Amino acid sequence: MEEIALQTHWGWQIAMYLFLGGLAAGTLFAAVLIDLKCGESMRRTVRFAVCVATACLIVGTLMLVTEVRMPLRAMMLWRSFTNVGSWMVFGAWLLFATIMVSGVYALANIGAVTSHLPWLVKGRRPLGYVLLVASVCIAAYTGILLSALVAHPLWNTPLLPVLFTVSAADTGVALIASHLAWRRADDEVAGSVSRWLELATLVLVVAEAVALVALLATVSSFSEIGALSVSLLTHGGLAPWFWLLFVGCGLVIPLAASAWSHYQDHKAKAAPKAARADDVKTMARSRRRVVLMSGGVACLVGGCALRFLVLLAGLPVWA
Amino acid sequence: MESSKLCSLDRRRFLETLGVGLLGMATLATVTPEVSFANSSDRNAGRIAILYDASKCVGCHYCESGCRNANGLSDEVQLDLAALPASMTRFMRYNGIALPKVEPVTTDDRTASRWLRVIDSGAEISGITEYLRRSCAHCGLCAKVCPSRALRQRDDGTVTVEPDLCIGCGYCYQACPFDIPRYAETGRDAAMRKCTLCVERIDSGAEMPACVRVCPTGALSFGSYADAVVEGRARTAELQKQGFDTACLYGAEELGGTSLIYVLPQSYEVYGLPDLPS
Repeated sequence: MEEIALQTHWGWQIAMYLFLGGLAAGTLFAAVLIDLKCGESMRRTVRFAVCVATACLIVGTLMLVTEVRMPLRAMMLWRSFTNVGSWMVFGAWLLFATIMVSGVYALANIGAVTSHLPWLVKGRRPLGYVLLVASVCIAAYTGILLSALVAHPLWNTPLLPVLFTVSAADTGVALIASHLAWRRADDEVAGSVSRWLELATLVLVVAEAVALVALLATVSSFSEIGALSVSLLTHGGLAPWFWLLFVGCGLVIPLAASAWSHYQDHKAKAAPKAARADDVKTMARSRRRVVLMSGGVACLVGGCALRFLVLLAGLPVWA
Repeated sequence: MESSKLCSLDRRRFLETLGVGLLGMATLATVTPEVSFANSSDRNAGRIAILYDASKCVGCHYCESGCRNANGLSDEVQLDLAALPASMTRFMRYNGIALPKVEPVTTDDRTASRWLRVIDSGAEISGITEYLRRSCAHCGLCAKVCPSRALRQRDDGTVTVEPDLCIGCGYCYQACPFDIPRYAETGRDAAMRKCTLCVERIDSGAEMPACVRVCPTGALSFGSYADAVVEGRARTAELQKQGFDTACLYGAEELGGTSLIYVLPQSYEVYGLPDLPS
């Protein structure tokens, strides 16, 4: 295959911006759902997730600012993000507003703060609903930012926001599941949430694989440059990264980890009472913890790789 | 108590909820942005345009020189005297304009201070090189995405640049299907630059953009979009009658109509121009 110049006009900062935006959106969505369902019993996990998501949003936005040629000018949002027809403007204001809301929501989850400002506790539920909507919008926006560009066949498809949204949810779930495994949360509620997250991972990974196949198939059949972009990913210069990091780490490992863990649950339930000796349970639990954490980390690596690969393979029509 | 509710949520209901959520997200994503080029006749009602007839272009680069002088650009342009008609060469010889012949321009080396380039397209007819003008077509895709409104499309279709507003995000570069935007590298002026169709000059009374004014062979003409399309279609038909079966008009329908319309003696793909929706 002849040498093809990759899309490098937008570099690693934009890839990280898209990844961190998606990760934050997925994490916020899952954390708020857990908070609404479980309340106080999962406070620690929710607090961790919301703080990480807020940090991701802030770092992601800074990534965008460092990518532009005139960062100081860009930071004056009210002057530099004024074209309401531009998706970048929608995203900049959405991120700015979400950082504010999720910052307040994070404070509302910190006991030392709520003891001084008890009214924050009452605000949790409405803020949670706002964050649910905002997180879906951010996840979709990270794909829409690219899919609005007619000049890039790989990006210019409504399937890209679908893929990025599912991947965002996937990485968010992975982050929280890893956190639960890390801190050995094994009380009744945490165990139940953990099993939910495994199940969600199974569904999301399959949905992500379906969205990916649909995207690659449609893009490669509609345009020559699109086919070139797809071939770069599947058997061109980016293929090793695509198969190893995205398909391997992002899809296969999380799927296998969740499926294995799910199978273990099933087996444990089916096993006779005599076999459920404490030491056996502890061993199974620690093995499960390692598997779940590996699955979660692999999923994050895969999600990050997806943004890099999609950016790099997004050849323009004039290539 | 809430925690027990959580545990009691059965798997089937959970999967149903997740499925509905995913479906909702997919639906949301599919109603997202496809650029619409509808109502192109209204859109082009007041549009002005340059008609570039590649069959008349001799690759002399004189248009580049006119552009540089009119817009105060710094990048040097070397004229190819041998490419000019003999009468024009004679005129230049007796009027103190003696410039060396340059090597053919095969790479599109436009910069922030060289907005227009005529390149050897790589296409040939009977061994003779086909030239191609590369400059902004004023399709307006960049103005749609520019967050800071540094790029704006006027009612006459021209996309103007306000360098003081540019944040250098590169979104216009990614939106452009013709590889037009170029950025000055350093300093306060590190903004995106491109052809503005000399609108400032036209607004202050000039009849046409500088490149059109200096073209010695009539390869460039300027007027309303409608006139350019009529003239371009007639010329294309003429070329087809002469035996150039694949001659075509490019830029009249693409992206709903642009302000740089090409008459090409061969198919646009041969010149490396992109296939774009109409």
